[in-house]
Amino acid sequence: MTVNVKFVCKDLTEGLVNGEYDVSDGATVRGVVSECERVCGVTLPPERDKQLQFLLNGKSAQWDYAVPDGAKLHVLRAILGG
Amino acid sequence: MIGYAGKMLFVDLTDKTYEVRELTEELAKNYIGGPALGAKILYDEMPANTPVFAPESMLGFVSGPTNGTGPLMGGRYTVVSKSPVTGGWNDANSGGEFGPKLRRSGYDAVFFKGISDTPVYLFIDNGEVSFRDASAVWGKTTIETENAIRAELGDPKVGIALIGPGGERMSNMACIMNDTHRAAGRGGTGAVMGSKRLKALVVRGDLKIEVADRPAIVALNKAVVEWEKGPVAAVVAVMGAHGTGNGYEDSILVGDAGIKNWGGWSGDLTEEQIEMVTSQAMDKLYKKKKFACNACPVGCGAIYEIKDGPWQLEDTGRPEYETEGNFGSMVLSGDAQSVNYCNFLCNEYGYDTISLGATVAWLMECYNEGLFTLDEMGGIDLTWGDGHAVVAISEAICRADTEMGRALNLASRGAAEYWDRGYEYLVTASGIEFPQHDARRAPGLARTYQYDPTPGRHVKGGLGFLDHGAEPPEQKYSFKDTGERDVADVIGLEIINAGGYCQLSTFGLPPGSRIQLINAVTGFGYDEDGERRLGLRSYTMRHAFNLREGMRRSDFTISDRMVGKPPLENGPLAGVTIDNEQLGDNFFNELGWDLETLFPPRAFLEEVGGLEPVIADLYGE
Repeated sequence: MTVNVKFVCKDLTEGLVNGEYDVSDGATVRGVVSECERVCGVTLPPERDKQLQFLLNGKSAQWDYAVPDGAKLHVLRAILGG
Repeated sequence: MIGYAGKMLFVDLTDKTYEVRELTEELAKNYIGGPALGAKILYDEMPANTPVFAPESMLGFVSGPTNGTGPLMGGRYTVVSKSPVTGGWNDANSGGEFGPKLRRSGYDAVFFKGISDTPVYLFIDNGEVSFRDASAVWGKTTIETENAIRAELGDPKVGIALIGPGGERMSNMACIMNDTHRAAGRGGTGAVMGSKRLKALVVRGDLKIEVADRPAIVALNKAVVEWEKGPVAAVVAVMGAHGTGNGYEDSILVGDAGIKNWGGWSGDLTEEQIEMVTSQAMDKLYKKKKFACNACPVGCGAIYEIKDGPWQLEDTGRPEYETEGNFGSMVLSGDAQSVNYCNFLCNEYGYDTISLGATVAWLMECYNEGLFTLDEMGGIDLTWGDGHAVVAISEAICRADTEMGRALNLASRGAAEYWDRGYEYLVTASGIEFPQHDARRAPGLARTYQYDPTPGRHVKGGLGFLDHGAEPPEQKYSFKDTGERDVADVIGLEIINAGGYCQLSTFGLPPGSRIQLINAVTGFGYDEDGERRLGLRSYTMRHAFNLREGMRRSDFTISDRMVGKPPLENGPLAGVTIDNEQLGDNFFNELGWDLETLFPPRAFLEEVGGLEPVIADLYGE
């Protein structure tokens, strides 16, 4: 299946590229991000677990949420504002 | 006294007298500084139910022990007073250099009462106090005034906290500025200062404050630097590069930022409108240099220069996230130059960008819903998204030379009352507008917004907008089991504010280091329980001020829209309604306070300690 991924917080996801990614059926958000890392040759540091948040088809999502085919995944920073 | 200048200054502006008092070790140990110490002093010194603009009403400038003593991220001072907006307790803090300079002048805190018969500024020069005529700068903008005072004193480096025309006219949105671009912004601090005809507090000095353990401060600061190079390096880097507005786009998409006077969602804005107001995009166009507050390794500030377009600006402060939101998404504008010019106007005239921007958004909704005519708006067509109209209304407020401009100086609730219209579009907590963090995304914010002694703030702890906002919906919208975490976080933020730390220290300092740095400065040796009681004492003292004013739970209100009544129909927050009464119950149950009166029980007050006057007022001797 394919997922359209947009990395909004580019400074926290440097090297990862916006676009369509092919992932296995039933992939989670973490699986999608891992596939993006593999394709782009980038490994995010472990602290990103707490520094990123997600919107899946416009709704708040977690790392372990299942991603449906054709979904749009926004990758956003979790620490906001001031 | 170690860790402190050891003196407080009490000024009576009516008869131009002052008194120097010792800051005792007991007082410092119980209240350390900032809003905690300020609340204690005003509780003891200011009669209950004093009208906010009466001579007996007090205004304080209070430093924290970290100011000027070395701890990284410890550069903020606090302004305290009664609020003309909420009628209750008010504290607001600001960065820059003023806090450390205040302490170097010889005083940990300066408190004013009385009303001067003519405009005046107070100059403290290495402990020496003089009252100076401010007639020549009354009516001048903040930058004009700073320049004039520095020229008069022949010193470009004096610390100046001052008001602009907004404070002089006692606007509910008036703030106190320092270091040109920094503001103690919220709750109408500037109005109280203006009511006393006090244009500025000017400080200079070279007092070196002795600390308890300098090697410990050095070691802890090294650990801070390592921490900021380690787990939070990327967050610190982006905050340092692009400031608090680095996440503007993210905030809009997740529903954190206010959109269309809190009635909209990201789909109401185009991608380009969002992109243009991000700090990243504006930095590319306008950034001239960056700046940092005292002792800050992050450096979230920047200076912009705008060389083209309708509102050209030289050396203007980069808008903070709050300002981007209030003059951007809140009014559906993607006009970066409009946002920058409104920010400049607020700084020059001494207005809180949050309340002024939100008041414009409220007016815009009223206009678009047909409550006001084009004629009543002085010919300004307030169609959603029009950056020129936003500037025009902001100028009308800042100049206050029309009936509309003067009415809007009352802020949104006051203007609704003036015109007797638009109540249904007010979005406030106890009358004060909200910062750019939507409680429907992080429900714990609703508890803080409604029930903190200073309502409508995002910097007062609780289950705020960081971790809580990103929690799974089934958890954060259950409204269960929130009390313990809520109280624990409030304690942490009370320490931050009383200590004089920046809010960015919530991630910028390694866990545990805040209280360790305070111990290294003061030698007070707070352990875990001492830290807990210190935080609770600070919160309770601020709260007790409100209780003594006669405020009870039912006096703390929040607009339905902020808690999803009715819920939004679109976007990530669609369908969300917050049970804020439950969140309030959870919080106050955890404290063991009465749910209706919000009285802390005597046993609580005795266990926390240092609250004897509160016990006497609530329960008798």
